Amino acid sequence: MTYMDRQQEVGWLHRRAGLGLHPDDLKAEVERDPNDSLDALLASPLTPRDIWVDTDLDPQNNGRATAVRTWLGALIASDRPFHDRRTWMLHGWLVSSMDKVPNPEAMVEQIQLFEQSGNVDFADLLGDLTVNRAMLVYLDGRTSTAEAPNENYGRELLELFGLGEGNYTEADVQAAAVALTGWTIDRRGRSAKFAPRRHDDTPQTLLGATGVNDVGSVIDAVINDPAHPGFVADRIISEYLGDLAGDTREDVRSELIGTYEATGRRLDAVIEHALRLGLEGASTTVVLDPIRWLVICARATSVDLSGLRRSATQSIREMGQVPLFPPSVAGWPRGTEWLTSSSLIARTNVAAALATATDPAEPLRIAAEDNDVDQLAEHLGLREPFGVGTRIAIGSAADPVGRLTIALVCPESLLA
Amino acid sequence: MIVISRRRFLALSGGLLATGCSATRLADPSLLSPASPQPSSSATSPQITAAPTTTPGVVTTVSTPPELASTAMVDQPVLVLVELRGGNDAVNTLPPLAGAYRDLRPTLSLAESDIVMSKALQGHGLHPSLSPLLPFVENGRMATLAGIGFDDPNRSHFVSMDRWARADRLDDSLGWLGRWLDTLPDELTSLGATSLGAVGEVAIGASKSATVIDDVDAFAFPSTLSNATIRALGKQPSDDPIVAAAQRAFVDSVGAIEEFDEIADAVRARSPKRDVNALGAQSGAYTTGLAVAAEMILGDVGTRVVTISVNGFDTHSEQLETHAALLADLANGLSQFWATLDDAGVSDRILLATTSEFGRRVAQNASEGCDHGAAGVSFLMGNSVNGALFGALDTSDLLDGDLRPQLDPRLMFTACLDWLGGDVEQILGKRYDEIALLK
Repeated sequence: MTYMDRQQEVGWLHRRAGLGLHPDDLKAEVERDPNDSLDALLASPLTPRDIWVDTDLDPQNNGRATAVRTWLGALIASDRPFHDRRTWMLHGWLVSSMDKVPNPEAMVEQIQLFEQSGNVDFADLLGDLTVNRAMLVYLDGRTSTAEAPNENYGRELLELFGLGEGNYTEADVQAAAVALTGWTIDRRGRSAKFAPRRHDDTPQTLLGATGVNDVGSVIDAVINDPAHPGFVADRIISEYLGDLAGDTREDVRSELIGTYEATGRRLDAVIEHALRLGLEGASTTVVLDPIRWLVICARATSVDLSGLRRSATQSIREMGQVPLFPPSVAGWPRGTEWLTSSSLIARTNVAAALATATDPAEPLRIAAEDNDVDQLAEHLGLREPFGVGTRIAIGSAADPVGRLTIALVCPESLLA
Repeated sequence: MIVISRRRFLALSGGLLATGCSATRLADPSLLSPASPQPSSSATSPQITAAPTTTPGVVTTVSTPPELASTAMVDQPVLVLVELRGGNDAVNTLPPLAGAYRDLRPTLSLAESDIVMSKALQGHGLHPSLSPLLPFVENGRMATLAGIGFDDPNRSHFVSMDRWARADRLDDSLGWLGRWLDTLPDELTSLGATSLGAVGEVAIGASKSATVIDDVDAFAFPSTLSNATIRALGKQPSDDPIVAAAQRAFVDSVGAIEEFDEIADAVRARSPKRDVNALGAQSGAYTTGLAVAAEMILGDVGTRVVTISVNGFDTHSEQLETHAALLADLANGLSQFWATLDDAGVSDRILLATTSEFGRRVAQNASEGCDHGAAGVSFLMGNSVNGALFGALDTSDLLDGDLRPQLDPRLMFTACLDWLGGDVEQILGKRYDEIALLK
């Protein structure tokens, strides 16, 4: 049974699980041989890519801003949108932030870890993350010692990264903290290292597992906890399928848990399964976070952000989401929390800047010139034509730039 | 941008009067002090009146004395809620002068000579950064709630923040102030409840929630789009609840902007560092947020509730410097806030409360910081508060290394709701008034 036609299917997949498509690419994808459009999205990139090569990340030379710009530029230029969008999800989930990590190189290293993590055991990812130098700074592992274990990382590993609140005790937090003592950063700040003299080797009991006294045994205890697979499934559901309820949610959840376990905890396999269920109708509308929305709009209009005026860059920041700077360990706001006045106003200003900078020969700009409301929605990969409100708003705009601004920022475009 | 004076916006604000919202009362001229910079626009508007005492280029206005204030909106009580996000360290905020404090914090306790002393704090002192608050303690304009926190504390930021925001009703996703907003019979103005710096979960209601303003300079739609165009996005709400929520958000934003425009110039002129968006321990966030809050109160845009949120109190490492800077920003902001409202003669209308999701562990960790703890400290400020110390920070009776909760936060919420005229029993389930925090 087909739930969506091919145009809808491609648009839905790329807005939700990719980073959007330029109208020409969208058209080409729709017209391509009727292969599975999900397989095409998932296909592994043919060539390796290093977006950070030749970037000067020295904090003295404004390396933090360079890191943000470089990553945002790479998302917009992405030739592997499924993978980059998954990396983006992990950045908002397994959080570190340059608010506290002064060294951009360390943050970039963490992003690279996420880039390589879609098809590895999630246990390995959590293990690598635990001794990742940005994480050792961000959640204070580097200063946690046998004499005075710092609980920050242990707590968030259980609450936010692995299990969820209610699935562990305070004693578990302390056990994890003790078992992870000794991991620190070398004197030059270049790499993580283990200092045995700072480590408390006493076997701990963590989540019922005994003999826990190092990274491996901590991660094993978390991964083997019965609450863990469902916690991962819930995260993937809320990221990719929205706010499922009732039996649908239970069915999808148990299917995803099954895939997670059967594939040796491969995230990409779980996401793929979720998307197949989504294509069959198991999904609700989701709010795009500001950066994904921006990337989708920039790709659709072929606008180069580096050419925008300073005021537009300021508006991008004011949307409330700066890559590499999540506001807290819980990441950014989610879902309808993004529908604040502040954020919407900033997005509208960004949309106006993008519309102004869009080349007159671009398909979206031509549709705006022609006042072709349905074409605007189709070019943006929306599943449905614009609603009445958006049609009135586009109709009332003074000129093509105004019409394109509305098309980019209207409720339908903020959502996927 | 056309910069208009306070007096000029009066001329433009007839619509507000029609909706029962007063714009008749003007602020004291001292609000726009000679020191505050103002874009050189005084020549662009014939309405602007330059006060003779000010320096050239500085715009000011003629004030109407507060007693001439006329409509109902003017006299409505206002609650300002200041959030110290991340878990403020109560022990260094309000250092206990006796007990195990120094033993448990070999390098993190404050030097006795630096601690600000007041008899009114009964065995506690104040962090040196809080010295601007000393007059409030001594004059009885500030209640100190030591050991505030819910029973059966949870050290998770997010669980604890939810408990504070929802008054411990975790089955209900609405904030306790949001529940109060829902009970208001009249349509609230768009700035009737405003959150500065971040979404104030406490002010999320089912039918009404606070308008969020991050940056007062950026709070405007692009000039290429009319308000009518933006408002049209809300026409014929979709059946999809998420689409409908986005539609409503645009309509609400236009309303907020139209109201904010009434006070925008005064606010922008007065906010020293104008970005209230508080990522991390961005200095000046409280000073800015509280200056904006004061201007909203003086601007008579129907504001009843303002929340101001600043992150950065999660001091797991190298706490001393960070904490001192945050508290200094807070204390300076509070002191300027009250000075502004005192000068304008409206401080009787204001109650201000500080909150934080938990206090920190009494013993320091190895990172020159402290981990998550349990009970904390709150301040309640205003001319009507019962200005005394309630509770104590007792380091001799710790709960798993943390301060034991001894004052239920709902005592403070009850006082706040009484202040606003809310139905406490309906909103909190019952009254928590074993202690009279208001006179």
